[in-house]
Amino acid sequence: MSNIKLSFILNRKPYTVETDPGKRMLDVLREDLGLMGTKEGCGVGECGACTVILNGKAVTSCLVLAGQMQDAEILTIEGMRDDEIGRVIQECFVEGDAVQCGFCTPGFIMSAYALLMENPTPTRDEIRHAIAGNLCRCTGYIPITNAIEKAAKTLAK
Amino acid sequence: MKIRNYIQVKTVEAFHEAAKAADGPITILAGGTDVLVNGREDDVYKDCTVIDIFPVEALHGVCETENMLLIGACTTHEAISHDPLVKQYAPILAEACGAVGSLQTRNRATIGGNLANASPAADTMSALAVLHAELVIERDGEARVEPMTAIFTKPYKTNLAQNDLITTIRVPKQSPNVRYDYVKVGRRKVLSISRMTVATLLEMDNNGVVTRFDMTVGATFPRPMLFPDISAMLVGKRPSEQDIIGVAKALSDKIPEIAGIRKSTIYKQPVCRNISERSLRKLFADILK
Amino acid sequence: MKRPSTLGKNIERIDAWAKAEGTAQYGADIRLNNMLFCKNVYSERAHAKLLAVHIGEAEKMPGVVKVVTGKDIPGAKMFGELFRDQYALACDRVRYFGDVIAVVAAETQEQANEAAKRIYADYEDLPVLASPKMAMESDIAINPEYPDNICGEVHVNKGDSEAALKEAEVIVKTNYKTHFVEHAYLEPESVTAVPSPMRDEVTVYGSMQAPYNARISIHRMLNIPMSQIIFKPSTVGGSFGGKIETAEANAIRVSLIALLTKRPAQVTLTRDESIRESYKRHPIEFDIEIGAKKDGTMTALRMLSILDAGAYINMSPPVAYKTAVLGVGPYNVDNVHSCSTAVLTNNNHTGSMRGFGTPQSIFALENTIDTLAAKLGMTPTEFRRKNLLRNGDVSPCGHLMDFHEVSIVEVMEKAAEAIDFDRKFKQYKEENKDPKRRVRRGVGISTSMRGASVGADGNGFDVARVLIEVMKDASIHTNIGLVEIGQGLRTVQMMMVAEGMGVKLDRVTLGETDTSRSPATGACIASRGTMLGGGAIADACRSLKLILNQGLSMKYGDDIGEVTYEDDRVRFGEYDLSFDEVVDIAYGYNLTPAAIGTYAIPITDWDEEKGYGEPFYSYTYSCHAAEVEVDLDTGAVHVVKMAGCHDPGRIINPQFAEGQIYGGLTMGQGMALIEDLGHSDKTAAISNLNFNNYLLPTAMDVPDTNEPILNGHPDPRSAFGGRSLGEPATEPAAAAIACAVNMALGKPGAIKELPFNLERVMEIAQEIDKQRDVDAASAAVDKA
Ligand SMILES: Cc1cc2nc3c(=O)[nH]c(=O)nc-3n(C[C@@H](O)[C@@H](O)[C@H](O)COP(=O)(O)OP(=O)(O)OC[C@H]3O[C@@H](n4cnc5c(N)ncnc54)[C@H](O)[C@@H]3O)c2cc1C
Ligand code: FES
Ligand code: FES
Repeated sequence: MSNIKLSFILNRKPYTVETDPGKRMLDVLREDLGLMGTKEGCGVGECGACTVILNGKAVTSCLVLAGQMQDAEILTIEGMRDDEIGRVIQECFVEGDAVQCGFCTPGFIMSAYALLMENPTPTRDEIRHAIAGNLCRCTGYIPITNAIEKAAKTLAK
Repeated sequence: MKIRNYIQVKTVEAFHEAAKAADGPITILAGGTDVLVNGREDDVYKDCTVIDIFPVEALHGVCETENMLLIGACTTHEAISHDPLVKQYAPILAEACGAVGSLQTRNRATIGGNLANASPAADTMSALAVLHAELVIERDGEARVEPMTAIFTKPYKTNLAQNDLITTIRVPKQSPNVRYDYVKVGRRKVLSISRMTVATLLEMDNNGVVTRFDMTVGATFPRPMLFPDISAMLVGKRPSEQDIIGVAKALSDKIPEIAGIRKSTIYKQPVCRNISERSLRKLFADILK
Repeated sequence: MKRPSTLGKNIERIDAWAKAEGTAQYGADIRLNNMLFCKNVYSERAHAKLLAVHIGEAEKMPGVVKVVTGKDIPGAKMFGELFRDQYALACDRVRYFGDVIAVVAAETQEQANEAAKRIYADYEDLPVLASPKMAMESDIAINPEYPDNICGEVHVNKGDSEAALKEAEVIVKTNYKTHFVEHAYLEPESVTAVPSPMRDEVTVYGSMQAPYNARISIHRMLNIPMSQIIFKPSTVGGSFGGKIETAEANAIRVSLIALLTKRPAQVTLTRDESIRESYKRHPIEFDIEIGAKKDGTMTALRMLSILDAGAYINMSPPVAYKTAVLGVGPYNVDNVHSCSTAVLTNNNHTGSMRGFGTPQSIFALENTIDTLAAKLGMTPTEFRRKNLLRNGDVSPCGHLMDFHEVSIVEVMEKAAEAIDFDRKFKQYKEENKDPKRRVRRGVGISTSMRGASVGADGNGFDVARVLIEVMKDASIHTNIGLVEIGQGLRTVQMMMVAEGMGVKLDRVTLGETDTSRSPATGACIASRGTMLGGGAIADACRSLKLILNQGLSMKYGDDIGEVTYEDDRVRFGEYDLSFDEVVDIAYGYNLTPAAIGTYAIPITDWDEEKGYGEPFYSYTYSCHAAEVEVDLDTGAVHVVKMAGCHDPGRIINPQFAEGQIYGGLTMGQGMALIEDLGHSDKTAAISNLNFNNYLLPTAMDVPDTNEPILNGHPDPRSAFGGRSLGEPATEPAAAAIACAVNMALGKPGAIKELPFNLERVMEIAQEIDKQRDVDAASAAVDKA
């Protein structure tokens, strides 16, 4: 269909784009805005590589319609660098070797971020629950769980 | 995804107006976790006006009347699984919603969409069936109430018209004495479409005599079902080990009876029997001693 | 021995920050001016003559710039790493559902997708050979050069297995079967080709594991000089052996389009397309027989294996080689016959995948061994302890193991200890006898020895090269073509350069892989990255030091004696110079401190005819142990813990090594229990084309207690002492879980086919329940 105007807050800055509301949010981020950090691994909500935070909740952006971004607050991996919590999570991922091929990494970091916003002192099991919607073929998950646990501890200090 | 038109509404009234105004087919969009998957490759929604009801605040959240929980159709599985009212008055539903997909999915996927999509594997169905839930459905501003199980015709098909909006899921409040068990069998721990669910709800008097009993199997029949004959096997009785074995067998025998003998029956029938026995033994642990 | 400076430390991955910030560029992240988006059109038949491809309608669709079919390829029509039998664009025949019959290039992806839907073909159906059995019985040849459809056969012969089996006091004879497994790299393939405005030249970006091989194919098929085909692999989002031929086919197609249209062209596969087109792990059927003496000495082993090669030969012969020579395990057994046969079918072709033909054979072998051990009244560890190889033994293929520490017994003990195997084995065996117990527990163990590098079937071909240049600022720039695929290889390469030059790590810089700058080096496959790359780096460092020494001689005289490079200092006689000074001196005399290093694996003494000798130059030793719970009510398997112990030679970066093991255990768990492509052995179609039904283990499925154990013994046969770990890290995992499940069920070796899904486990559980009822009934009769 024809384009409509969509306004939203992305990584704490206001944006307005004109786009097809029938697109996926993932495509708006990657194609319209050129934010390539959000990845597509499956397109059906199963891998979590496209995870972003929409109004405070981790969601798979391949299953959100562009129209649904209207008036929303969105955080993507590109917003983590300048975010205190995001930065610590990234540091712990890098130091803890939670990154191998890295294709899943932005999605995991977004899931970790959503978790720590809601629950700053998660148990290991809570962490595993929170990342269960993110697939990783390389790391076997334990280094990722370790990294998130460490990020929580670092942030608590 | 190709669509004809996209309209976002903020109230139920606005939905009705938009539905009326649309020429051609309409598709209701809630969390979109089914719609976007269906619409991915083929152009199934190409001619549709998509009406996005997710922003309708009135459709989100849980409230209560004296006897009922009223769950807005757009309440997400994640919200329901943590909702204090649901946990108190219908914990089996909280469990079923918590068993859906991943956190990302549960954060978007709604209970109304789960029902309207009518997948036989939908996790909320067996729980809502044993709870005797009802649906409030509005068409063009007029509301009607139907038993939850009544809207399904066959897999992925309901008798809802395209402008029928499920607004509320009405769930009778359960007393604290009600015992329940919800078992999901999937191929992995999370993010797995159910091979089978078994939902059980029952109540006993002080003597251990069953006053109410509902047990059903999900992800197995073409649509959610309740079985009065199964309920009758225990109601009025203080169950014995033999009764439990009998109920489990009767319930699992429904599988070939209703779904026919398929390749999956070889697996599902004995598993149904086993997990039913296991559930009932757990629920009646104190009685069986 | 001098202390290693950087080796053995946890150095951060050089690319980790870019990946964590989301700025690392993967294939699909590339956007270029004027770039075309492409869409593949796949065959609708598994086997047919391709009579015509109708593209007229598509060509007229909005935005379409070019549609190509097989006819447009100007040069050779077929490619292949070892055997050239695969169409990049089908010409006269389609051989599986992943064959591509046309590619549309359009201004936008949506336009390309739309147009692609309008392409159709005329086919003349041929019988679909959907299993090796069908293919061997059929008189139809999938590839006319292989009339019996057999495209590879490898055997091993040691002693006289037939006679030994006749004499054996205890024998187990059984059979096993494995399934197609998907690499499931999280990043679907994406390739971009950019034409040069100046000449017939393309630069190819994207997810490529083997750029040098792809360069040869494009050269042959598109008729341009090899020097004008430049590969610059992007960040690769996982590979596990999977981003070779499929990525190459896509590279050929988009390069064709780029050259024809003079515009950059990109193709990005959807997950469904990726699973449809890409090659898989070989399904293998095993007939296996093991004989032993009553005291538990293993005397004979026969293993016949039939591999489903799918529609193209791909890597099947070398995979069959590894199945045959490594599948017989790290056991000391005098009489061995192993034969692997690869058969062409109309299934997805099968090729390199982490483990390369051995996770399957280890599954078959180790389950058979458990069955035998039970028959002998031994526990799995007792039997293995008695029969595993030791220093000085001769391997099952005939390799005298006297050149490094054969640590497999130690490796097994450590893995067993990590899950408390011996105690739990006894305890669970006892408690599982209780007929009322519905959730049974089990432990399993499995071992492997993995050849490092390609092996004797590639004798003489296994070479790596590197170009290292010491810059004027005394930084050391390294160009090496072995691609980073997520394993940390490039970081390790930098560590090895620092070690080789005796300088601090931060002097070393590494160029992105670029075939126009790094000399041809073969692919990052077959557990060769560390050992071969290391060899080439060591060679280049030697040459560089000679050049630098030359400068020193010019300045300080010919008799400077021995020069040592250590701790970032250069010392000779009484001199102790900084590395910078030494570099300055060399440049001062107009020397060129740049060198190409080369390393070829020495040719080993392997007699292919006989099937005896030294199949590899060196080996990594591994053992995985698993503990599981099996629910007899549902057939569900819960993995409680896995431990993986490995001896990959020197541990160059412990954290990376552990990362490989964590990931390898998980991949093995998926293979053992849930991963299933839903392949039909009637139609040759696969039905599980995305992650909604091709299930990978999630964070909740993988035990949080998994334990990697490093037991490194530096290998005198490797420049920096390291061998390989990527493949070994997953090799024995599926077998360990399978053994544990069978143990829990009280029936060693019982389940014959992977994956051990709900249905297969339930089948055995029901047998157990039936037996229980029979026992109860007969007990009741006895009582009466
Ligand atoms: C990765 C993944 C995992 C999943 N796992 C599970 C699982 O484990 N168990 C399970 O049960 N499900 C699972 N699902 C499916 C589940 O997410 C959906 O069934 C969900 O509940 C549908 O809700 P929605 O709001 O997303 O619906 P939408 O996709 O928005 O709509 C679904 C259908 O319902 C209609 N509809 C929506 N709301 C209404 C309404 N109020 N009135 C009338 N019609 C309406 C729509 O028109 C559409 O036809 C999974 C999905 C994904 C993507
Ligand atoms: S791409 Fe969205 S979940 Fe996989
Ligand atoms: S790091 Fe490769 S998929 Fe997670």
